[in-house]
Amino acid sequence: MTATMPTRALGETPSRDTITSGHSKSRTPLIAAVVALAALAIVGFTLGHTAPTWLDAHVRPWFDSVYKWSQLNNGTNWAFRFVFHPIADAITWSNDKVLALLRALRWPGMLALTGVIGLRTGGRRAAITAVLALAGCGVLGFWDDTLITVALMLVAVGISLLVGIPLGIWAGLSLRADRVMRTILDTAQVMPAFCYLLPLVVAFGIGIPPAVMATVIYAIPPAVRLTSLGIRGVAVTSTEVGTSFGCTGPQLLTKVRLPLARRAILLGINQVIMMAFGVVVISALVGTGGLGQDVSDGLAKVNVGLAFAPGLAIVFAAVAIDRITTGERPSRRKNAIANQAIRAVLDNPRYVGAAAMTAIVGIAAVAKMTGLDDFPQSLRFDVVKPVNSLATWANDHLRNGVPIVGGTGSFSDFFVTHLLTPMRDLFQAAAWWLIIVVFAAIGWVSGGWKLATLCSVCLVGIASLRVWDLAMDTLSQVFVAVLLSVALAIPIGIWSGRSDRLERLLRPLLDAAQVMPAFVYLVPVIFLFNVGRVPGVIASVIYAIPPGIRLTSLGLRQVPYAPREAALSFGATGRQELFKVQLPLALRSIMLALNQTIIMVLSMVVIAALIGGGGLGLETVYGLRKGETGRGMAGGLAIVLLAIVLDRITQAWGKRSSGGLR
Amino acid sequence: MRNRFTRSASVLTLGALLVVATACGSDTKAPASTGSVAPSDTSATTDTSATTEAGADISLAVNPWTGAAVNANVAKIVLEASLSTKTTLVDIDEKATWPGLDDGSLDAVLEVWPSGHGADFDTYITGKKTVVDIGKLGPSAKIGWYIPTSMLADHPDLATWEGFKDPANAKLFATAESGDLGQFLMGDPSYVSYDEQIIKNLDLPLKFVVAGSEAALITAVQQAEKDGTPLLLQFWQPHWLQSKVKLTEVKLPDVTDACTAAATANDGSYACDYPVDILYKAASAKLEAKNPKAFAFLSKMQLTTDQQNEIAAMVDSDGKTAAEAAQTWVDANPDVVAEWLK
Amino acid sequence: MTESAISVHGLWKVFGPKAERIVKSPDADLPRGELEAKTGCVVAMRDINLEVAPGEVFVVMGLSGSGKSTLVRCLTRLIEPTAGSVTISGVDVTGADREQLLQLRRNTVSMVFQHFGLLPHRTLIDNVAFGLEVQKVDKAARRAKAEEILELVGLGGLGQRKPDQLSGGMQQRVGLGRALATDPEILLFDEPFSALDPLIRRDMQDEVIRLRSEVNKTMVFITHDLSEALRLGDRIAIMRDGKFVQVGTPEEVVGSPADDYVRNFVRDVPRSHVIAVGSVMSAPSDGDDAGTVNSTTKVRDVVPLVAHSDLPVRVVNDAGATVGSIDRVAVLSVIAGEDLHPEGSQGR
Ligand SMILES: Nc1ncnc2c1ncn2[C@@H]1O[C@H](COP(=O)(O)OP(=O)(O)OP(=O)(O)O)[C@@H](O)[C@H]1O
Ligand SMILES: [Mg+2]
Repeated sequence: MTATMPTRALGETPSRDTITSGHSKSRTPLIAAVVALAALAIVGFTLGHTAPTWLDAHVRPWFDSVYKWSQLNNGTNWAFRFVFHPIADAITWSNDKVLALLRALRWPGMLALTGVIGLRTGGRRAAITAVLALAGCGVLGFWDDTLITVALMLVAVGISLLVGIPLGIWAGLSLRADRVMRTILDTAQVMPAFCYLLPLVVAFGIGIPPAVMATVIYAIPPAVRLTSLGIRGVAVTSTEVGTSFGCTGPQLLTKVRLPLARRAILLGINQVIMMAFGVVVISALVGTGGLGQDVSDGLAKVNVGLAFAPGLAIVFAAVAIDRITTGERPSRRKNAIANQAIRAVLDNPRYVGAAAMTAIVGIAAVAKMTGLDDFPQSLRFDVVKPVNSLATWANDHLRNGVPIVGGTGSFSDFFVTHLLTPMRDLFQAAAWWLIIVVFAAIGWVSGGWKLATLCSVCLVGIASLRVWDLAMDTLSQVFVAVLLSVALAIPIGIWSGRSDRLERLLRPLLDAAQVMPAFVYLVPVIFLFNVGRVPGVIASVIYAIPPGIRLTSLGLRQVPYAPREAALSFGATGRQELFKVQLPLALRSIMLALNQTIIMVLSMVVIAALIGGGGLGLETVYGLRKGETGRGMAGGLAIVLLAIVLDRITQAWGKRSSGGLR
Repeated sequence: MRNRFTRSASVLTLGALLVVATACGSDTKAPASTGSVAPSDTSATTDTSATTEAGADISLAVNPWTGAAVNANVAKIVLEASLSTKTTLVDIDEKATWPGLDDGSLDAVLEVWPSGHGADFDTYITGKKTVVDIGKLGPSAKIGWYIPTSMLADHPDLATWEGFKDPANAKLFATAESGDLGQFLMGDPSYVSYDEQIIKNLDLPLKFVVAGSEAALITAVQQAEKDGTPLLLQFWQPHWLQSKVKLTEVKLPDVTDACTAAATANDGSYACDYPVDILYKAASAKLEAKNPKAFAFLSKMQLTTDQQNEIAAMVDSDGKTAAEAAQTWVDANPDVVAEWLK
Repeated sequence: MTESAISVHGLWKVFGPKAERIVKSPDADLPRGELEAKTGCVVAMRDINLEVAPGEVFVVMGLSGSGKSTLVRCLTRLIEPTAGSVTISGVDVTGADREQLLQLRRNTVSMVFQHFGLLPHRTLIDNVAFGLEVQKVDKAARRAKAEEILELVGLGGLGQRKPDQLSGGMQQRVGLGRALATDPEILLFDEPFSALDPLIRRDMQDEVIRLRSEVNKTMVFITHDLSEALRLGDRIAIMRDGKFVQVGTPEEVVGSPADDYVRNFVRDVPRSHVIAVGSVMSAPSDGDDAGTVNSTTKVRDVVPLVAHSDLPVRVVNDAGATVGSIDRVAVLSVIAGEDLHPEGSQGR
């Protein structure tokens, strides 16, 4: 939700972008490789078949047996009785306390608290936005459900930070830890929650604990990544200063490293919260109630409006929390001297803390006495009906009979028959080893033999999970979704990078697209595009373009003025300035946008499967919905492996394009 | 300065808020759920004037369909009004219900479709014995192949599976996803499905496509109804959609012993209709000791298919909440309820 | 000779894998590029020996990349030396355990950094008090001390500002203050003034000169600015490719460069500004003189005397005894850059 884009993008330390090894020096090996590939392709397609059984690593039965064992022993085994169950109890206890606190504040107190925090962290504007957004949850009629969701969120975020920040510090200090953790975090981020939700229920019981744990798994990566990035980003001089004055390790950490990494860590906290909102609906499947449950209910009734309203409340809650956790307060330098006396009071923690506390407690108390328990009925606004009539209208008018293009229905059919199916057939017709060779070659060209090895290992891993054909199906869909997303995101991103107006206009839309649970738009998407792979692709595109647009726009905006000025001084037109200066210099960021798009699309594979996408996503759905844990895990791991391959390749492109910057 | 400020301020504020919370948190309007689960429909009225002494609180699972919500709400009303047992309803996924019954955090689930829970039955009921089967709910359910009724006018032969042998007929159901074959649409992958085997073993020119979720399946049905396009799908009775969209079940070969054997062996040779699902109730093994009266009542509680449909219709067609519908029905049928409490 | 404040023997620093193997091996003499291609290592500093007397200002000069920073950091093991030994105030630094090393860094040696190295999240007061805070001095005491130091470096009353609100020169005053706050015996400066403009730089140099005369600290001062070196240094070491190519007083370095590298370095320095009369004088003459000067007087300062007289100038030592004489020809030849008294220098 912030200007800088989340997650993995930032996981890459800028300092690590050394120029890749000398593989690009000569073209001869490249040509040789192309010839060899052509030969391989002929063999590969004539002997084409799916991955052989001897590669089977028996991952599925292993997970199944572990799951079965846990089902049978979760009442007696020490690991459950002395580790998981106490953790579950602690989580339940904290959640109950937090929720009681939020409820005790009542809505006026909650709004006041939000406002006060917002004023402190982001200034007046942030405070107003946050208060309005939170009030919006009440206006939509979901006040108490919002509290339930926010309480769960706070507990999950608390645990994520408690665990994530120390891990991030460790990763920031040790390169080896960083490397190991990176793989784990990638897995945590891409592994669909559907795979591990049921095992979590077996371990922790139903309700809040497994939901919190699932949220933690999904949301912890940015805490670790950004802390590590922040620690790594501390200038060597600063640590040297610390050491030269005789700091011990812990002193260096608390007095130098952590304070200097503060901004990155704060951004991490913000990102953790945003990620946590991403699993609200899924976590409701285990009995948490709250907004997620409301969305599920709407979906079960196949009622667009009913699912949309709580979805919108989730967006509002996310916006509120985002605004009070991102803001750097506007600089106080300017009027520092003018208002010194006032500042002296305002800056004194005792005065302000006490005043804020008294105010909030007072408001809550007054609310209690005057019986302001429920969010006032008179302020409620019903969005269900308008949304439903909009959906009906779209269904009636966009699906068929639009002049020239023919409507979304025929678009969808065209897409399936001319793009998705041929591509899937191509991938599935090629021998499994041919695909591996192709990816190894791409890896080699992009990042040298190390990357080639990594790609091969990951793909062999997929083969060993016995999901080869499904993976190829998913790959073809991911491919198409990424193409579509990029085709949309980059032009829009460029445009918004050059127009402040558009950027401002887009911000709330992108925020909403990113936080709105995909479950909300599943039904309208099917309305328009029929059940099948296309609605899945469309849903992925909706989810994946916001980071693409943001990063492209950010990249363009970050191009320093000096080279642009130079170009202008040579008489470059606006177009020339864009194509000859801005775009080349923003290339790295655009590559990052591509990378993020791919990751986002992959994280939607499961959702796509809920509307007919099939492939690996459907396997993981089986994991949860049928209790076939092994099957779900195999699917989930395959998605992770696919993600690692595509991620590392595109990251290598990003690094190479940085060559242009130097 | 700034750092320290923010820190102290938040610590102070939080401290104060905690005080407030402990001071007035206990008597807020919405009772803070002390279990690990959040209540749904706490608004249902509670009659505490019952004669019996209060039993231990219990929680009932509500799986995501109307029937399940209706049963649970009826039970809740009776438990609270007549047995003074405070009852929490927990909205939860079908599969996640079982570990909940297993460790006792859920006390009962009142509508289990046996076809989807064979493994759970084996693990928890016959295996660990932490969950007990507490008898039939009453209604039975049936999965089958369905087409829009309107199609029968032009294609009467589609009433039985043999009509689908004709490639021209099958082709009516073709979509972009199924290519030249007819599309057979399956919804939520968690539901039992022999469709692929049936298609293969009966040699029908159909392609099995998974919509992925019940919502997707229902949307597809509504779309087909609206556009008047053909659709062949796996669907079942009872379902609220059946009252809104006219669907006709396609007749498949009768269930034979060979079929049942094939289903048990899971050898891929299934080639007949789906068996009838007799819905049952399951409870945590701990419930009987914890609240024997509730246990006895839940074991005894039964609804006929008509009764369940009647309550469900109030929800699906009249727009009542499940709690309101259940209350209306309970008020109107005191004798049925009395029978359960005997 | 009194005990050295700093004493360094055979100190090496090699960056890269298996660095120890390079030390003293034939590989170490390979050109930089070849060595790096062969072993992946860079020799940043090789076989450095040096003694710094208490109260001395020892300047290290060299081009960028010659290993100056590496040297000064190896002294307190901010960078771990690959081989050799360092002794500071009698403490064997290279053999010191963690505790000794902390004590040394906290109490004995302080460093002033090239880009000031102020901690941006702390106010000036807290920056200056940093060293004391690390030593766990209580808050009131360290604040008081820090106030006093800020006053000393001319920033009294600005204690509540943050570093980014100050100009470069002011920031480096804070850096200096921070180093002084712990009252160390030894100060290490790593190109402290190279980022400052010439006027402020001069100011700061004056500050160091003042410090030196007032508080008499031992200093190791890194710079690549020759005039700075000449102004401040008691002795100057010229570094090239990690080695000392010459160590000597300013006069020695300017008067008799050890090789072309050094010669190039000092070429533009007006020798008469650096060379003392004592190093170019001839035997005492018996006749009249145009005046009397101390042997440490720079040649430049004799010019007015010889300009108005044909007579030589008498040169006396600190005790007042005549030690030699200098005439107009000798002065002119220093100014012209010729060496007319080869026996008086150590040139090639
Ligand atoms: N961490 C390191 N790893 C590898 N090589 C290094 C490292 N630090 C310094 N070097 C190399 O050691 C040599 C000496 O570096 P040093 O920083 O001591 O030079 P310097 O004389 O201080 O230069 P400058 O005047 O630019 O500060 C340089 O060639 C540098 O490239
Ligand atoms: Mg240096």
